[in-house]
Amino acid sequence: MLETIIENLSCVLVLTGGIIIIVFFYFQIYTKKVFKTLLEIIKLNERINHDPRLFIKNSLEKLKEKKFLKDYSYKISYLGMEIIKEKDTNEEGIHKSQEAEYCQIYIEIIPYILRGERKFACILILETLFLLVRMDILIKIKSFEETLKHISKLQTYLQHDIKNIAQFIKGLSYNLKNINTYEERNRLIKYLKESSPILEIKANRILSNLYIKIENNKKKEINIKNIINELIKFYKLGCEVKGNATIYSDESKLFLIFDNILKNIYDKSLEDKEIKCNIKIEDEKEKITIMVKDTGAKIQSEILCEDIDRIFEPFATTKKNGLGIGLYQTKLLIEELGGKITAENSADGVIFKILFYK
Amino acid sequence: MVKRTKILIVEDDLALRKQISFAFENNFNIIEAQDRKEAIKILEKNEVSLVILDLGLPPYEDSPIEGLKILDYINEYLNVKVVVLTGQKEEKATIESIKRGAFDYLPKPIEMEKLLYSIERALLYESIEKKLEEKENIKKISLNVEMGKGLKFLKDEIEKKLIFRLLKKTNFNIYRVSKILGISRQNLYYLLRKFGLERENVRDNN
Repeated sequence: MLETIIENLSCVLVLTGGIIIIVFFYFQIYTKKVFKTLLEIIKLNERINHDPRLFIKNSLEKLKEKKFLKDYSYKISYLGMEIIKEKDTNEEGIHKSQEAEYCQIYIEIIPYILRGERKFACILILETLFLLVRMDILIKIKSFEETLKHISKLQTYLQHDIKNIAQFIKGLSYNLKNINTYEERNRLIKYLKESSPILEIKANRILSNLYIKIENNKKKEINIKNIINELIKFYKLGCEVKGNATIYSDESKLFLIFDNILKNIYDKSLEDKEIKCNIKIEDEKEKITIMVKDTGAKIQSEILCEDIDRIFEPFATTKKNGLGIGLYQTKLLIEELGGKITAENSADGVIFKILFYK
Repeated sequence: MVKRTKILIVEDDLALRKQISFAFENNFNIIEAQDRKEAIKILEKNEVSLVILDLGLPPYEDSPIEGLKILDYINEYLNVKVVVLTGQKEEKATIESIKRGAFDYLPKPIEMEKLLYSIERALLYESIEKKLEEKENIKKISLNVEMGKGLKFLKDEIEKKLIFRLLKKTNFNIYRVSKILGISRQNLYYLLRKFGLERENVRDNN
């Protein structure tokens, strides 16, 4: 009797053990499959550059292919766009939605089986999908807003110069029409001669803002001190220039490089009339070093103080209404000419060190 | 020699400034300034009848900040007509300029004939106001008043502005100002204390 009981019990135990092992393996395989799919979805999002439109379409289609879902539907709207995918069946699944000021998201998935562990897996998949789509939309909106902000800034900046040039042309044509005497003619020519350097600088500045990379490779022997002195005269700066060097390079690019740096000092001089600057040009065997130092205050911005090289990042500016493109462009131009620029935030002001290799 | 009308051109673009100067220097005495500090220095030392003002001046060429500061200065201390000639985004800058007492607002680029017409109109107004002041002792004061602050506030603002202008015109001559206003010196000192007007503030106001 006891023997029979023990025999039956051991059979039950073996059977139970077997079932437990089968269930364990089933859950292990299923969990692995779910996590692998989630990982694939995350990777897919990275691969398509966080594009919400592409992501929602491709990820749900992938889940359908893998037999996680029987059907799905979604409705997403952001930045004035609406993307809708209706269900092919009339079945009800599980859904998640959000209605915010900036976007609307509705995702519904219809799995084959919606109970037990499969229900939890489906919820997990839906939550992950929803989170990724929401994140992608936010990235898109943010980057769109940032771009729009910078474009509008650039537009305002360019408008100032372009409108001035248009007004200059109107003024000139009016004056040419109204010249009556030789004396007036000579005076107008004198004014035009005085104006020609500024017109060249303005035109260069407009072009340099439109094209960060200036494809112009007219190289010749250039006297660095002459360029700097011309700009110092133009901006009426109290600058002392020591040393000199000639370099075989592109004049318009060099002009823009020094114009950007000296314009910064000029802007500071409007607030601080006492500002002085010292420029030292060192001509060595294989390289030319130019140090530009001004006596204006050091940079106060916390981020830039911590890492002064960030001053060369696009749209980094310490000015109230600055575009933040000048120093970025300066760095690009110097690197194009095979040189290097570094900045140092000293107690007396900012020091720029420019290096050109011969 | 005939005393010619002085016009100040405040424009940071040298090429454009020279063209505007050339267009009008046969008929007017033209003075030029390229930034706010230079403009205010000139306005302090010269009796200017009209200012042609660009709003986008360095170091903030792409914003009207500097030009509006000049307008504030003129509105506060002087009686000069201002014709704004600027390339700034129109609506906001127009409202701000008119709020600060600009006579006209011309967006760049504009035909020079239109600029000349605006200058002539502004000078006509200026000469009539001057005549009124000389003959009938009528002085024009412009004020931006926030409705709802009450008549007491309005009265104080007018008093403060008038006293400030007279003190500036007479180089802080208390005796002359009290005579012009027809009040006792004690009363004037009381008002100076009330409005916080001090010699240094009146003189160094830029």
